[in-house]
Amino acid sequence: MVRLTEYVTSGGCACKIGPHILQRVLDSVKPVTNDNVLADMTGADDAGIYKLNDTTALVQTLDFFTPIVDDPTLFGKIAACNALSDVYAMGGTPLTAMNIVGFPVPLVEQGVLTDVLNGAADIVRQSGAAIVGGHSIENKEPIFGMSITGSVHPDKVWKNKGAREGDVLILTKPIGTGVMSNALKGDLFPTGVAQAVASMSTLNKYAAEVAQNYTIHACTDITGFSLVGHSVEMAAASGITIDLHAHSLPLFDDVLEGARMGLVPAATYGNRKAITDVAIGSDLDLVWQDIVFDPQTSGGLLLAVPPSESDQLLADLHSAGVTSATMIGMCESFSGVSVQVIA
Amino acid sequence: MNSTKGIIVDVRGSLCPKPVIETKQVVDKAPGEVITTIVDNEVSRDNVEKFGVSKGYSVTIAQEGKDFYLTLVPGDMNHNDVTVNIDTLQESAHVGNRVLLMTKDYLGEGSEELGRNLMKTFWTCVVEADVKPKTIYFINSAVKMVVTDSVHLDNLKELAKAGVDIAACGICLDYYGVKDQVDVGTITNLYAITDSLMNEAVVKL
Repeated sequence: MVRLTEYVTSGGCACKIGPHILQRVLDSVKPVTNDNVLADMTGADDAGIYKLNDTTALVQTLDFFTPIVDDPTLFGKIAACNALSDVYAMGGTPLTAMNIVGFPVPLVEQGVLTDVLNGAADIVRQSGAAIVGGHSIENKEPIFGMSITGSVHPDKVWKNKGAREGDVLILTKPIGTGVMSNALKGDLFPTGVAQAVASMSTLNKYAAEVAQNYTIHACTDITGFSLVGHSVEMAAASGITIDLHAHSLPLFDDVLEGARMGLVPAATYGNRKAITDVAIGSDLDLVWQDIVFDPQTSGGLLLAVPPSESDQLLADLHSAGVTSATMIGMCESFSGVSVQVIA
Repeated sequence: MNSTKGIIVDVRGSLCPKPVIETKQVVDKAPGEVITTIVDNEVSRDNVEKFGVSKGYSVTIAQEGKDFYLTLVPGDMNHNDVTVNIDTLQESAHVGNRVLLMTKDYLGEGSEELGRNLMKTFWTCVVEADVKPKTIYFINSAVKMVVTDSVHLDNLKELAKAGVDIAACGICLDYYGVKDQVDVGTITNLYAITDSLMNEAVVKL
């Protein structure tokens, strides 16, 4: 049996270029844009939005990474969920998907790539989109991901910007995939690992479809930049302060124990270093620092909704099978820092 | 040359989570033993330290070049009974409990020119001091000392290597337009600094 994660020399958890390094690069490249662009990387949004006419805009995104699990089919599913998630986070519907492949030839010959593509195809089928192509190169480390195109009504785009004072924040998946992917490599905490794997290979489609029936002021999906990082993006774009309640956060089993014993990905330390617009309550156990900066793969949606609708939205999410959805915080008037993590 | 005590787990060259997992395997097999884990990056150092503490060990860390030696001593064992030969190394890099708050890029009041020269000498003295500060915070113009082209970089990097936390105020770096030039330590905020001022033994300079 091939252990896919053993092919990754840089470690799945470390495969992202640090945001502070990346920003320096992007700052020195002149933007290429026009009037039809409704969202691009300048707003830290999850996908690009390009207006075609008054009723339709394109949502475009891509994502790829090194194996986070050993099972090739599961890796394909998780990568597909992760790539499709950005379309749902913008309030869109995915239309087409393309495969992005870099693979060592021996693994291709053993049928590993076939399993990855079949896993991804299974998820794309669930999303309702079609797979229309792809591109592959030979690479020492396996990488896989997808480029997704979707559509959205230009007036109904969910952005980071728009959260208002008084809004309730609902998170639709538990936190802790970074810690649990380290646990998986050490064959530890099988219950939490199984929960994390199931969560990572579940589409955000179901949560997004329920949320479409409500007033969503802002939305993002929680991925590599961590719960705090993506919350900072939403708060900064909206000009408010987000209060996150640590003890309300939905977590996979044993995430706290795993973080305490040092199963903390390198990217957590990178996130903590890069994200400074946050105040963490000094009365909180130090382990929460590692939880709120934990890089998520295929994480949940973070939805800002008016308080009058939050209870009903939460109930609807639960009855639609999004059982981990939890209220995790509130939007307050700007208090000098974008995000406060409190008990 | 370092010699170490107890069971050696040499995981230099390994990335997270291997150092923790290999240390754990030894702990599971030999509970109650002194273990020294050798790592070569800060993430592994911090994670193995967390692991040791979570399992009730007291952990001491010594650095030699790029390598960190983490000695895990079981909680019920008296530390003084353990003769770790890297003691000498640890003593030279001993970190005390003081926090320095640097508020400007020169030392003292009066002539700024004199103050800048004094600052250079001051850092050299801190590097050579037997007991070093635990943390050094940089606010206002002091942040200029941690950025590219600062004449103090060598000394400050030396201190960071010895385990001193170097942290500069983010708003201040922004104000001077040098946030992307930080060359030593981390970027922090006034909340963290205030917290430290209220709770720790702070020396303001």
